Amino acid sequence: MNQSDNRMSAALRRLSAIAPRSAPPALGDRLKGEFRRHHLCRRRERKARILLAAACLAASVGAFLILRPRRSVPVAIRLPLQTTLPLNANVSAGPTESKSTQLRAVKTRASNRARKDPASAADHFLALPTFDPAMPIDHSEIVRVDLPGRALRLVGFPVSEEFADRRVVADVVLAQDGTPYALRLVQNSPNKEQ
Amino acid sequence: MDSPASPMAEPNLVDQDLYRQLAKGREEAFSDLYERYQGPIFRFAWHMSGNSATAEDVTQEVFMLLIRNPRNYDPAKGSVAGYLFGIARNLTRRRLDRSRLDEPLAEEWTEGNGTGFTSDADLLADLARVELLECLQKAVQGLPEQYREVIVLCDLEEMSYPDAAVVLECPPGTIASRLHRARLMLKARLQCQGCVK
Repeated sequence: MNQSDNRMSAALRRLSAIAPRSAPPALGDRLKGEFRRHHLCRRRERKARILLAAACLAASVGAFLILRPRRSVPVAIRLPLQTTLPLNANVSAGPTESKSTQLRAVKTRASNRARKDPASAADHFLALPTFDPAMPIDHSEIVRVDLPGRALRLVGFPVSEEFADRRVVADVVLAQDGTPYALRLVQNSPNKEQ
Repeated sequence: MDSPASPMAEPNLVDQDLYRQLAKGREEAFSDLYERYQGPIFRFAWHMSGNSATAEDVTQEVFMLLIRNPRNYDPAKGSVAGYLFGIARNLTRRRLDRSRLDEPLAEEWTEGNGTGFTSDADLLADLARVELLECLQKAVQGLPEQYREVIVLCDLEEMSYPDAAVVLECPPGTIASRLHRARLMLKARLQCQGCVK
């Protein structure tokens, strides 16, 4: 750098020194106010968007719950663990069953297992049309019956034609008034007419 | 010529941290960043335009952009200071284009046009006088824009060549050569205006 450049630099530094050092203070206040306003608006917008999204989600869940298809086919029900399992009890299958059908409780190893493990015994029962979910089933009974397949039709259990004349062994859940609520097939006994 | 110390390189991490907080809406971060850069940006616009109102408008617009679009800044592309000066430069250019204040002086400057630079050391000694600073300011504002920018950034704002190169979007070597030519042009203009003997 020669002397000329040094003098030019010095002159420019002096020019820089006489320039205003900063913007007017009012400008800073204006900008800070604008910053506050801008971010307040943004926060409000964000809250509104979150509320809107939550409302949409709630509406979607509500619509799904209202419009979802309901199952009308027999469903498996779980019985309370206190269910009793009487042995050798002769009971009727309920009001919808014909009088000629005599139900006979049979004592089997399966029933013993059911007594030992009532939770597993309660599995695989199919609800009958007479079952009302609103009714308490605390005092129900499970009765093992041996009856023709046709008789199961009478209580609403779907039985194909080929099994109509066969005898079947089934566990039936009876309400306190004798109404059959659910049924579980234990075995088919085509050759055992009893 | 050695480049002056960079006012932008070291505080860049601080700036970027402030910028992140600003983008999240922290007013203290905005205040800090404003206090750091309002002066240099205002002076840059003032030197470029020679007009306080324009400088104030440019400063305001730079920081308004910062408030409204804080996500526009990409740290990978450069420093916060470079970004802010870049905005200020574009805004100032636009305003000068609009108001036609950046028209070059009537006479065309050519290097070695017979004005006698051999005695420029004596000639520039006259600039020590305060009354001649106004003359120098007019000469700076009369420079073509690309030369005025390097004089303002590197000589008046003492920005490093690399930082100025970021702001002006050109290689540092170009900054050095432009600065050299700009100084020669300044000397010629001062002599032509009769500001120096």
